[in-house]
Amino acid sequence: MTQRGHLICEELKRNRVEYIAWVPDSETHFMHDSMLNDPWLRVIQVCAEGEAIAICAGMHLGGKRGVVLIENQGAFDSGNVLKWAVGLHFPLVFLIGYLGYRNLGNTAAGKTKRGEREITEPFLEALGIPYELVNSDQDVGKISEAFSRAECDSKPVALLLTRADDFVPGG
Amino acid sequence: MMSRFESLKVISEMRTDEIVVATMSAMKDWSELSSSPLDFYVAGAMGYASSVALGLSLAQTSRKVIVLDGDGSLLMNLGTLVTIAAVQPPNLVHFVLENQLYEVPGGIPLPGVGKYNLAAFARAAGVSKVYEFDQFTDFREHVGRLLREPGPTFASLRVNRGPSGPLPTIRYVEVARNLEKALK
Repeated sequence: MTQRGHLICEELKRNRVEYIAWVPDSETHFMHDSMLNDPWLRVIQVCAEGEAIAICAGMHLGGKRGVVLIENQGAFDSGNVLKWAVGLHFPLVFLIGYLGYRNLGNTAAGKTKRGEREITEPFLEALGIPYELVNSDQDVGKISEAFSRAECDSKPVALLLTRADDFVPGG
Repeated sequence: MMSRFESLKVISEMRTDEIVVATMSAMKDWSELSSSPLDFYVAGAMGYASSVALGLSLAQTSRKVIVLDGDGSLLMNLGTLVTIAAVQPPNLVHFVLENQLYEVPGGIPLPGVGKYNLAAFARAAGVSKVYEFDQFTDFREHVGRLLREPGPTFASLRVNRGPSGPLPTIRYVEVARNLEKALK
């Protein structure tokens, strides 16, 4: 269990989050133990990322607060439902594992080899979803800011989570 | 085969305080049958009506949530059946109107028609209460019990093709805010 995973779960609870709709990913592996062992947070593991977004929208309609926890590649796969959530002004907060963030500069041209970083931020910008980077324990306070911004602007806000443990996918 | 309008009319007559989430072709008929603040319409996120309804069912545990899904829509998000079976919301009733078509863009047949069975998918996913109806009298006789019993419940309704064409004009943002207010 990492300190950042614990801090994020505490911050979510401070913001009245009861549910996490989740597809596991390697970037936010550091979150898994903390959230699954937290007696207050209820984790709904889904089969595909679009489901997580739609479930949290339904929770919002019903008066409960859930957050989406997915990887950026899953967000790419969910473009249509993201567009829908923006269009209906759902004040949702998305926690998005930022696959590829640390790969920046791996090529002579200074670009990621895998492309996720080149695409992630422009993808969110194209959908009109504001975002912030959560890259250190000190950044965890951005979660509360994201909820305030989502409510104030009546639109989803994304937090891009970089990895906080040395997990090796498949290891 | 059943008439979609008549099948939905029976549901609307038996409805009391349930939330209804309709999508795609079902929206055409439901928007004629009901003007309740407890209605919600999913357009533009095809496939996700049952996921929205699952979120509603978790947030509103003392109310039933009825989904009026389509077969083309469900095929876009089959994993929802596994998720619903895993969560086991007792207040979720998932109707799938099977006309074997993408009706809105002109009545284009779905892929694989006649080779798959959505009710069998639901059973295999772990949904314990699964029903199939292709006769209106049978549906009318059983739908009341189906709406009252603890779920999650899945029901396939074999319905005739309705008129092709665009979805009805609905103020989706207003509908969403009305539902939020009604559930506060």
